[in-house]
Amino acid sequence: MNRFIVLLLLLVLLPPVAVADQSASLLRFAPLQGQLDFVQLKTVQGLPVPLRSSGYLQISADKLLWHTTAPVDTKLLISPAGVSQWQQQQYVAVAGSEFIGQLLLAVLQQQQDFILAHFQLATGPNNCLLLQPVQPPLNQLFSQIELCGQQTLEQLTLTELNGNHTDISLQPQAGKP
Amino acid sequence: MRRNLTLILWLAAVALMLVYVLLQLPQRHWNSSITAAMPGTTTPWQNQLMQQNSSSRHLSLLLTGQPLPQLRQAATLLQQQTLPGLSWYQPGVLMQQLQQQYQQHQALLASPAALAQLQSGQYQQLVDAAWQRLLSPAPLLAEALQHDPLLLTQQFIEQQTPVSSMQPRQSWFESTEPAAILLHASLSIDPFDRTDAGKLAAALEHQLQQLQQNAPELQLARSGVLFHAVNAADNASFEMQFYGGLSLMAILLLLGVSFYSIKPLLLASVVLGCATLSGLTALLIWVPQPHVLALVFATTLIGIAIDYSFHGMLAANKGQRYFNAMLPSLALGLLTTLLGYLTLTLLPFALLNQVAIFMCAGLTAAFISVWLLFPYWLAPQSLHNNASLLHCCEKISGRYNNTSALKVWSGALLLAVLVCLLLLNQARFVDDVRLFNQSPAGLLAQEQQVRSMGSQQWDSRFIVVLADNAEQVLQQEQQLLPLLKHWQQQGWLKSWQALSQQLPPVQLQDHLQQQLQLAYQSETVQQYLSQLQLAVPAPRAERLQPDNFNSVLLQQLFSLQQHSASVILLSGVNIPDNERVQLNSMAQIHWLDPIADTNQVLVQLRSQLGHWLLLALAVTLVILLWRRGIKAACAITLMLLIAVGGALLLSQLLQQQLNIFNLVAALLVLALALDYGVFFTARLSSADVYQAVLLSAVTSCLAFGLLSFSQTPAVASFGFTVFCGVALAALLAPLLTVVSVKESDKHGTL
Repeated sequence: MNRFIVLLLLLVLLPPVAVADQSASLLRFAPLQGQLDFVQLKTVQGLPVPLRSSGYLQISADKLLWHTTAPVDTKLLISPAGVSQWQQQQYVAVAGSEFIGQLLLAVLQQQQDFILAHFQLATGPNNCLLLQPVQPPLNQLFSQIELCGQQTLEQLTLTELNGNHTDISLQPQAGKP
Repeated sequence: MRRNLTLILWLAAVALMLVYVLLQLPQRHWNSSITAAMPGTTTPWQNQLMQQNSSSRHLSLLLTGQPLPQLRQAATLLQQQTLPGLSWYQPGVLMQQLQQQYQQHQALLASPAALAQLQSGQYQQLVDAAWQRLLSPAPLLAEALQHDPLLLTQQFIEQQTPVSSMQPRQSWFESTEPAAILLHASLSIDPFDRTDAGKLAAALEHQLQQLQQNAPELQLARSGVLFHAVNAADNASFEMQFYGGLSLMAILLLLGVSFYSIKPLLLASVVLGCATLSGLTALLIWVPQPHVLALVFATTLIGIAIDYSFHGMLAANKGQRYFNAMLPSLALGLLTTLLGYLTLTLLPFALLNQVAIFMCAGLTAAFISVWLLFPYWLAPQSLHNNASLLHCCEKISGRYNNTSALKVWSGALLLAVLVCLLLLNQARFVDDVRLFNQSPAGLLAQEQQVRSMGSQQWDSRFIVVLADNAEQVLQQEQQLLPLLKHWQQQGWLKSWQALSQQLPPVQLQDHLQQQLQLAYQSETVQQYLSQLQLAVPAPRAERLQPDNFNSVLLQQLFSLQQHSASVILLSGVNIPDNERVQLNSMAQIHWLDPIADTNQVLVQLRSQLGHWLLLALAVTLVILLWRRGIKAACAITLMLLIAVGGALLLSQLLQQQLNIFNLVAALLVLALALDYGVFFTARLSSADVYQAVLLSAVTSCLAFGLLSFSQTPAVASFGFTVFCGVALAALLAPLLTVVSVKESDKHGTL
């Protein structure tokens, strides 16, 4: 009888644990650190051609420098507190950008807690990882985030609800980890 | 026969009043706002504005003490249980709504900096900023490039200052370090309405207690007028019942000890019942929403009305002739007390007006009851005085009578001069309305905790912009911006919140459209547009206006009878007076400081009351000269000076300051002490007067002395001063028999 109860309890308790473990196992990318080159293709409604920009990212433990060098030189500082734009020799915070800052840092650094708390995980075409936001405000901004790559994250696609989407290709800089 | 008819009419009137009170009481709403009880501003538009202002209809709850997931669960549970009259703010939803409205009106809103760049033709900077935003991975508004290629509205939204330092989530604000959730709610009920606010606060408290029972480590901090108002109302209600009940019990005990009979208890109860009923009826007829504090003050009716019963009982017990001889003195006593209270009805002070109405009606009813009922219901010699009490009174009377008149005169004169000099030297009046009511320390600490976690701390001072319509109000607000910015740069102002920050005037939207069309024709912007392969957007025809705009900031816009008005909320205010004067030069812009304004009115009222006190003394002296002769008049006036001055001096020594309630109390002391003076200079039996005055003084001291323990400083000040004054008057009044000439038969009636 006791064995039966233990078995029953195991049956009841195991599935959620198993699902959580299963989701976590999908997060296979190694966290990114240091400097990486990027190429961004931004498809915006109303624009006949996607906007192409390139530059480099400087990733540290709690912040990320997003330096676009072409077609224009612009800098963004991204942290859990939000996104700040480099304007007139200083970083100016963008109001309401906290979640974007947290999202970008979490995806690039593969922060398991944040990703599991805010997204439903699935495997998509080309063995890419699909993140579907499950709660506001992320699900009011993005319909899906796609992460692709082998061992490390190489391609990132942010699909917005309004039809815009941003493809970001990442590549470690030559000679740098 | 005529007397019988009067008695029947009086009893019928009492029955009618009882029916009226029973019908009215369940429907009436009682006010508990200390500011509503205080003198208000006099300008009609200010009164309208303050009535419409809903700033008190908000509350906040801070949840801490647990990890964030558990706090979220608790917050969700709380929001799932709906409470009538309370709706939780959904910051995420509100922000989304605002963003959607801006999205539909892109290119109509721009930051002041962007507008300045447009006006000065600095198009390259605008293009650079647009490129920077365009290349950022952060999402853009839908159809941003078609309507607003320079992304001015997108950047306007992103430059809006967050309302709180905590991060907005869908249904609350959240902080990770330390883990905390801040919930905001709005109330559809008046937090100062005793009935509605009490019900809502009790239901909310029940939910909060359930949450804490489930999670004992959960810490809750409350903020909002509702909690303070309900606490003040509960406190007032408790004090009214507790002090009123205690006074009543003590009085009944005194009666029992004095007469060893149930009959005086019944008679006194009838008098007190009629008095209370009349007071309540008058209050309900004259005041639509009476104040709970008025009832706390009104418990003193018991202490005064019972005096009439004592005098009536002792006189009626001696026979009709003695009763008739006593009546003029009782009527004179009533007249002086009524005069004291009637002066309060002339003051622009709601609370004192209500107290005066209650007391005047109550005391008149007490007098009529004694006059009509006692000779019928109390047969001569039917009561047997407590022998030891009578003996004691005779002994005291003897002691007092043994004092020489010269000693009394010189002593009283010296004491009066000393008291007056000390009072003039020591008295320090503080006219600060905030000192009259004090919330419990625990509630104040919770309020502070909520505010320290990021809830906005708007100052009680604010700016009001008046104009003919809403558009003009928004234009005026825009004109005020440079001055506000200057004050902010100087560190005199931390921040402000104005509707025009979210909703620019149509005039400005038109101007932006014109400037944008000019910019689109410039070479720099043309080049930018061609790089993006975008066509020049057509000018927008629609405008964003209060009618098609939805935001919580619209609560700062008011429609008054002849004007539209907007309130600009301020925080961290430390603006020098000479800087603030600049506002005076701007037409229709007003600096409002309700606390300072009320304090200013209090200063004027206090000065007015001071003059009335002196006038009352002078009038008393004249009446006494007419009724009692020069010696008695001078003696009573000296006694009044010592009683009133001494009471104020003792209050100053205890409180280290005086306030308007001490002065109101002084006016009452004058009326009460005068009663004692009238009786001690009347042609009545010395021992009976001693007994009646002794019992009166003890009951008055009990009623007012108990009030000095009130949690409400205003009530405590009032109670202590009256207690001291009555005690002093009761001690000094018997000396009047030594120095005054008794009332002659000729002048024995009023």
